[in-house]
Order: sequence, then structure tokens, then C-alpha cells
Amino acid sequence: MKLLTKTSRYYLLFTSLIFLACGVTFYLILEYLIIKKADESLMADKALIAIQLDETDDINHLFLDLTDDYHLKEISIAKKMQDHFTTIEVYDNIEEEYEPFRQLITSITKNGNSYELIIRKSLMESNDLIYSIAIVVLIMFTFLTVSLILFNRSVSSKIWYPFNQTLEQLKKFNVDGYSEEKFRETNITEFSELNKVAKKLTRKIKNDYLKQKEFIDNVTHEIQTPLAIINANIDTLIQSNNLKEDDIHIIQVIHDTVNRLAKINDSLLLLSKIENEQFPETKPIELIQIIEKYLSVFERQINTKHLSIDLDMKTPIKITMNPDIAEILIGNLIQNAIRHNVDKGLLSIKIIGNVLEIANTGSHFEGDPNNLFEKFVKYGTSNESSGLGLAIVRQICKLYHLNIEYNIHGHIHRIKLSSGSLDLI
Amino acid sequence: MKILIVEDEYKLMQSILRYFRTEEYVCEEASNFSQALHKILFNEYDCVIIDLTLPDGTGFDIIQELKESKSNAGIIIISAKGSMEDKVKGLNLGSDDYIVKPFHLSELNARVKALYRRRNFEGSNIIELNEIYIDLNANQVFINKKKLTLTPKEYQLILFLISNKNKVITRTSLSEHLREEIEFTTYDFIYTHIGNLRKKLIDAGCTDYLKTIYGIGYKFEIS
Repeated sequence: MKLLTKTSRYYLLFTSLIFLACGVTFYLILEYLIIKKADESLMADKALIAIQLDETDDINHLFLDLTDDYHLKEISIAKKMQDHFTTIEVYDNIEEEYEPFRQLITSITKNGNSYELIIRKSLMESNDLIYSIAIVVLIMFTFLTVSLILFNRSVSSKIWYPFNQTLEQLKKFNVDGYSEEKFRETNITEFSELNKVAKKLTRKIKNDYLKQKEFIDNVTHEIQTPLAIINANIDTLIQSNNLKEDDIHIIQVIHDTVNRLAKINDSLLLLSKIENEQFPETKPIELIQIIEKYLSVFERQINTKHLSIDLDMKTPIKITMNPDIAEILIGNLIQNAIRHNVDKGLLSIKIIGNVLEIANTGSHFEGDPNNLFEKFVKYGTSNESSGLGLAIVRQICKLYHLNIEYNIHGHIHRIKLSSGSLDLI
Repeated sequence: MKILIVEDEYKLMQSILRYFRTEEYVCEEASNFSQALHKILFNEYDCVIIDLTLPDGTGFDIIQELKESKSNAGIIIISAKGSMEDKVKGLNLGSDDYIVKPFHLSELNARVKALYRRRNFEGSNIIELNEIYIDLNANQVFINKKKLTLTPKEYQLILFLISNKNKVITRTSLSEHLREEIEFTTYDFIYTHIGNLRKKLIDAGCTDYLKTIYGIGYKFEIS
């Protein structure tokens, strides 16, 4: 939810509550005033009737200039009453509805006679007034709220402009970029501080990145040169014509071991390069082509192990990533599925929707197969494996937000790869 | 062919020199920047092999010096840094090839020869060895004047073997030569290629020069 929407919502809720409270208070005050006015008017009527009664004894022939209904009757003197005001509903025969009235019941004593007096005053007009006021208030409230929200919207797009600029700049941040990040100057303290922090952070990230890169380069250099010397000397040694069979065997062991070391070094460097995201160029990659390529690269191993291949790749599957990395990913997975396969085993590659599933027959494995993604965790006794293949695979998946899952059911090992937009499989 | 090798690692240098002894090369050595600079100022070389990291300077400076003095020498960079930037920088400065440590001497040798051929036989670039005739411009191999159809990998393979003729070549160096930029730690596919190439050569009536050295690799024995 956008910040503006969120604040607008709170704002709307708050103003509604305030207006509701104000409206209720206003209504209560208004009603109180109207009732008070009606009561005063009824008391005035009463006083007028009392004056008239002074002048005549005939209660049926009072001359009264009253708009309100009244009812006067003689009662015994003992029944003298206090003034009693009530609001009542009276049925109106003409309008055919109940209408509100304010009623005063009281008694008047004149010339030794007691009279009961009931006066009613219509509250109809007052109700109409309240109704009109309510409408006006509601219109005002709506107008005020809408105009304030619109105002808020235009102001906030202006105020948040520098923030959005900074955000865009950070989105475009590239650790490989040589130029320093530039953030637009702003006179809003908070955003200016944000820019300062962002600038400091990006500078630090770049610095760290460079240092790490230098470190990787140094490590390569330090290990590659001794490896080169060993390799070169083996190459020179094997040219000798008087090597005995035992010597050749020893040379072979040294040669293979150096190779393994070189491979581990290569893999470690590759892993840290991926970890440092040193493969920036990406494009949509069609996986089927790469799968087919590596099935032919590993054709010999497939034939040697007499594996049967089960392919189900009807729907194309595309992932946006670096082309070299895509090759490493697919190549590693297929290589693993072949290397750890059994004689006359099965290798199945399926694409179901957005899921790539590579399954192979293999040996039984105890424990959590997801541990196999850790560095230098190997299963089986294969010397060919550097123990880094699946670690590289996992790092690649992490980089491109792919989900990867390793399942083992009996002798079937199954790796499922799906793009990050999908739910976990 | 006169070659200058600029390498600060004494042991590596000695191996390279010993490996190149049987080739028709005249090798000179320089173990640091100033020595190298001195040599390129007073001598003409066909090929200069330069290690990028030297105790008193960088290989890039030597390349620049060579280019400024309008030297015709072919340049091969040896680098322990496999980084793309170095490769691009080296090639931009005008070097011809780039090889990353740890490399095989057979690979270095093949690169030196390929570079030499590129620079010196413009027009007619041909290798002729007994019944084998290779037209490098057309990428074609003839056995007893009959054309031999090879896959690109097999063609690469025969060139590599001939470049390192009469030398023992390890399986690893062969497969590393054939593999692409980034690929897998599988060397097994080399057997297939070697097998196919050998069969094609024999079928075409070529002597079986390719000897298998048990446990190590191969040797292309040809006089």
C-alpha cells in the first residue's frame, strides 16, 4: 500500500470520527435550545391564559391570540399541579402521520377556581430546521474532506519527489559501476539525511566489493602459480624416455591430484564470483537447448553406464540469467545425475509448467538431502567430485531467486527447480 | 624462432625452457621488468611470453613498450588472474593471446606455434608432415592428397597433437584444450574424440602415429 493511500485512509477515518462527534454534539445542543424555546413559549401562553381568566369566568369564551392548541377544564382545588413538560407524538388526521409536539400540563388557580391547562406546541418546524442544518453540515464535510485529500495528494507528490528520486537511484545501484552515486539535493532535512546515508552506504559497499575482488584475485594468483609450476614440471618429466612403469604410476597420481586441486580452486573461485555477483549481464535463457547440449557433452558417460534417458520437455522454460551461469547450473545438475547414477539406471528430465525436474536412480542416502547443498559435503566415494557442484548450484539459485529442492525416495533422487515467482513446490 | 620469456617464477621458467628445448626455438629469459625492458630494446623477437605480475612492474607496461617501439613480436600473456578485465585490457593493448595459470606446457607450445603461423605465413599457411597435409586457411586436412572430413573438435585435436609432436601429452591438457570457455570438470569426452580421429586417419590410409601412453596420455610420434 502506498504511503499516501495509507495516510489518506487514516485521515479519512479520523475526520469522520471528529465530524460524527461534532454532529452529535451540535444536534444535542440545537435540540436543547429548541425545547427550551418551546418551553418558554408555552409558559408565555400560560401567563396569557391566566390574564384572560382574570377578566372572564367563562372558560369557553376566552379571547386568545394563540397559535397553539390548548385545553382548559375546571378541576377541584385540591388537584393543584406543578408545571409538567413532555414531548409527545400526536396523530395528525390531515397529514396522516404522527407529528412531534411539546406539551405543558399545569394548573391555574383564579378567583377561587382551579383549572387544568394543557397546551401543545408543534415541533414540526424545528425538526425541519435540524434536518436542513444536518444536510448543510454533511455537504460541508464532504467538500472539506475531498478538497483536503486532493490537496494532500498534490502536496505529497511534491514533497516526496526527492525521496522517489533517491529510491530510483538506489534501484539502479550497480556495485560494478565505476561512477559514484549522485543523489539530488533537497532542502527537506529527513531526505537530505537519507541521501547522505545512502551515499555513505553505496560508497562502502563499492569499497568492500572492490576489496573482496582484490582478495579473490590475490588468492587465485597465490594458488595458481604453484599449481602452474607443478603442472609444468609434470609435463616436462613425462617427456623422459627412461621412466619405469612404477614411476609413471606415481606421476599419474601426482598429476590427477594436482588436477583435483586445480578444479577445487576453480570451483571455489567460481563460487565466490557468483556470491559477489560478478556475472552482471543477464538475458532470457531457453533451458531446453542447454539441457540438450549437455546430454550430448556427457553422451559417453551415459553410454558407459547404460543409462536410459526419459525426456519430457514439451513446453519451453525460460529463465532470465547470465548465459554462462545457466550453463554451469544445468551442466552441474546433469553431471551430478549421471555421476551418481547406477549401472543401467534411469535419468529423467521433465519440464512441467515452470518446474524443471531432474531425477536419477542412485544409491540410498540417509539424512537430509538438502545438506548436500553445503560446501564439501559429498555422498558416495567418488573422487571425481569436488564437493562444490551443488553448493555452486544453490548459490546460483539464490542469486536468481530460483527455488530448488532435493528429494530422495528410496533409490530415486529428484531435484526440482522452479522460478521464484512460483510458490514453493 | 626467437622467443623471450618474461616470468619471475624461476621454477616455472626452467620447465618452460626445458620443454621448449626440443622445439626449433631460440629462447631467452627475463625474470623481471627491467631485464625484460632491456632485452626488448636491444633485440628483435618473434614472440614474447609475458607474465603479468612481476616484482618491479607489470606485464602491461612491457606490452606498451613493445607497441611503442613498433615491435613485430607476437605477444602471449600468462596470467594467474583469470579476471575478464585483465584479459580485455591485455588484448586491447595489443597482445595476441592470453593463457591462464595453471596451464599445460603443451597448451603454451600450441599457442606459440599458432601465433607464429598466423604472423609468418600470410597467404600460404600450410603444415606438411609425411602424408599429412593441412591447409590452415581453409581448415582442411588431406591424407595422401585426399581430403579428410573432420569435425571442428577433431580438427582442433589434430592441430594440437601436431604442434606437440613427439611429446607426451596428458589427457587433461588435451581436454582442457578442447573445452569451451566455461565447462565441466569432465575429461572423459576426450576418449571419444581421440578414438574417432584415430579411426578416420587410419581409414584414410594414414600411419598410426598416435601412441597411447598408458595412464598418462598420448604421443604423436612422427619423424
